[in-house]
Amino acid sequence: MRDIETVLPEVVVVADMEAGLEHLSWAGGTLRYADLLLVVAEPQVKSLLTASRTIALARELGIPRVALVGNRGRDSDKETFEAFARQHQVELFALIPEDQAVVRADRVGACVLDREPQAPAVRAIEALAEMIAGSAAATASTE
Amino acid sequence: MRIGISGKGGVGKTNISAVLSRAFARAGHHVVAIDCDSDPNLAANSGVPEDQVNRMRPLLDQSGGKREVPTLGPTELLAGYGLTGPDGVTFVLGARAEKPGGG
Repeated sequence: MRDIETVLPEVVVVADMEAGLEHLSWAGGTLRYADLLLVVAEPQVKSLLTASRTIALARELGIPRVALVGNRGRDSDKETFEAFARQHQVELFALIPEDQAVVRADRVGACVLDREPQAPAVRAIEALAEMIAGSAAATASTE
Repeated sequence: MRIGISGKGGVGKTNISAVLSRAFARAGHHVVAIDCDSDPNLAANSGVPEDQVNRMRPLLDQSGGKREVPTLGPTELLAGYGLTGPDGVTFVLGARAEKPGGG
């Protein structure tokens, strides 16, 4: 993962990790070369517990930037995610709404971006991409 | 930039990875999307046709009963294991569990 940038300097590598924490443990440590870890959580206690363990391990590994992405939230869950982010001192990068378009695309094995490009969840993930690209550019210009 | 996507099973990591990868590509970035799940479906979720998904070669070869990761430079890695999908995203498969193993 680390060497890809030597041939493609402008590359963005997106690594979809296995569920759980093995990729962050010292034995695995697949993610130790990540610049940014997006911790995806739903507004449920179990999911947030995994998120808090993930954040702690990511810090131990020395991943420079860790951010929370709240998924399948309703408006009333915003506060839950915000409080969690504050408590764990991570940025809340996105709130992706619960969206039946994702379920419908999943059912037919398609990408929701092709099936329903205007869906609220798609819009939220597109905004997340813009935000990450923007913040990376801002970081680069201050270095 | 290297971005990892983590979280509990079923929280929507793969869908977010898929749409995020394609959104970066549409914005003009070179994107390499790596599926690190041993039960992989990132490429399929991103809109890569099933027959192409099935032909993808995982980096971690378990077919001979051994678990070997090839030592490759990035150019060879992308040429040998990458599949170009929708919006020009290059998909790479980390591993695919094909047989039960003794660990």
